[in-house]
Amino acid sequence: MIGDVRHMLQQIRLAIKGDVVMTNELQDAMGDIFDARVPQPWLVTPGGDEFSWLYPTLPSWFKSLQERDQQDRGWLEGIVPKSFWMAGFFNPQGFLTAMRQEVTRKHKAEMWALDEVQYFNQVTPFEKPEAVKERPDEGVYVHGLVMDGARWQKNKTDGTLAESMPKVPFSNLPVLHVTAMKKAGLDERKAMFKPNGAYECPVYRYAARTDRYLVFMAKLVTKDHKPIHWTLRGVALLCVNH
Amino acid sequence: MGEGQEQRAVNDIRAASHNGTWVLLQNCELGLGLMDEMEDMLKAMDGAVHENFRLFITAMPNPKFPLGLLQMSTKVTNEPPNGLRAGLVRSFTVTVDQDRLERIDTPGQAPLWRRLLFTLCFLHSVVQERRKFGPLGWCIPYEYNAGDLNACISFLERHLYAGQISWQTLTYMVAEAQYGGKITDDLDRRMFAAYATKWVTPKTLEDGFSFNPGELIAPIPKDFNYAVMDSLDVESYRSFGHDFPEIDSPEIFGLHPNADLAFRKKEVKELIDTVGETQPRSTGGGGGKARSMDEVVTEKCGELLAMMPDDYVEDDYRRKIRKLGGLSQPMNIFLF
Repeated sequence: MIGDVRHMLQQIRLAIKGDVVMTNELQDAMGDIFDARVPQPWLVTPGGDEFSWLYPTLPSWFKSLQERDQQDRGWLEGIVPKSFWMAGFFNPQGFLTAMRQEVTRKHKAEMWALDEVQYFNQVTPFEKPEAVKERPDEGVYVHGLVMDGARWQKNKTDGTLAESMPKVPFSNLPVLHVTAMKKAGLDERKAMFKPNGAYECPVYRYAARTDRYLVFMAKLVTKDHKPIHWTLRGVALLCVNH
Repeated sequence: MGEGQEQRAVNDIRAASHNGTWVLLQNCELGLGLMDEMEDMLKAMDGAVHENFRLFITAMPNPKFPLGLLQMSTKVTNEPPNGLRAGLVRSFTVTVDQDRLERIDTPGQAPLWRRLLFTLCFLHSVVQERRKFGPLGWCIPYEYNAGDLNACISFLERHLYAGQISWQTLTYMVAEAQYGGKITDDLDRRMFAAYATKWVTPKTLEDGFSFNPGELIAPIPKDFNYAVMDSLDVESYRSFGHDFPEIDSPEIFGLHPNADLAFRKKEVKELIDTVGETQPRSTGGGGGKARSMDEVVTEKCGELLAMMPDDYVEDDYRRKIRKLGGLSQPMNIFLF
């Protein structure tokens, strides 16, 4: 990926100087760069598959590339991130599946099987990923989720879904702890969501919501309203807000 | 049009232009071939037609529809109405008439029938109108139309003929079968079911039931009460619809007032994008200071190249992943 982008940038420079032939592809990319759009070949493969996260402008796309690089490079050097940036994964669904697998293996002795294990999540009190001191015992911390249609209100011990502030349609969710457990474990934790039950909140990659971009369903505490209230509000979490 | 009607249409036009009668051609987007010839045909007839001759053409929007023909015609467009007010009034004009309102007239069931009739029409307007909020409204903007409403009403009618109302059946038929049949996204289905559980219930029949949310964040225009209408006269439904506020509060849809922000932003973006597309590409010549596209792009490429992260060297990262426990650790696959 990085190689491809670098190569094209170099080619465009050479083509403008006249050292290599200006192809249609390069011509299109030039137009895109001039208009601060991301050149198509960097977003989708010639086969039509998504190649990187879709961003509307070149600067935002480039910034995300750099940040993703930082997360991966640090991790490679053995510094496992304490909290993972969701948009830093090419395939966040797959990342969570891997997490589920890891948790399941940990409980090998108790005979856990992957297909019996479901996601469970909890909003942590950590506003920013920097506040996270160590990795959770099980599962992962993830950050960078944005809530559309409501906001997360922190209380002393926990928190709840609450109405958005006027004129602030989006709000940042604190660091989220996502893990996996068997159904019995989920049942034990039902009390957490009393008295209304959890709002099953879809987590999408982008603001455009299609089932293709659905990452997983998060359970959120709602103290003041029934879950149906948030359903009608269209509340969702987004990995990137565009 | 279509299905070989072209020759008939031409014959009728010729006859009518002599006799001074009217011709109406419907669904002309299906007969674009004839439309292409129409311009020349009409021009050739110019001056030799009866003064009372009129030609009406109806068509869905189609990019291939001949421009010349459009330009020489008087154009009238018909779009689905906007807003709950227009939607409800339309439902009580097109779909529900006096006869339908009286379809069920046993004393035990008539009030129930009328109240549910209103509820279904109101629900129809709400789910249609919710589309304007973009992804906050529906994941996929479904084209619900009067046919869906009609199907629900017909079902209710037959259901009531058969005896006592079963709420479970009615809710299922409305949310899952009729409208739900169009819905392809599971979360949209959940959304529709939420409306049905909230509004299609025995509570809807109680006096004083209102579609207004219990707690309001911002006041509804005119403090309007979206109550369930019950009247023997279809005209009063229409006039009740006409009383609806001009601007729909997002809260009547169950949305936060901020949803209007999302809606306006979407509208503005569409406008700006359209304006942007009409702008010429080249940077203005004059002034001498304007830089050419080549220069701008060369500089930008240079900037980006300087900021590019280093390449990942395969041998290098393979070694490092091994150090972290290798690919047998599920999460490490994400480094690969």
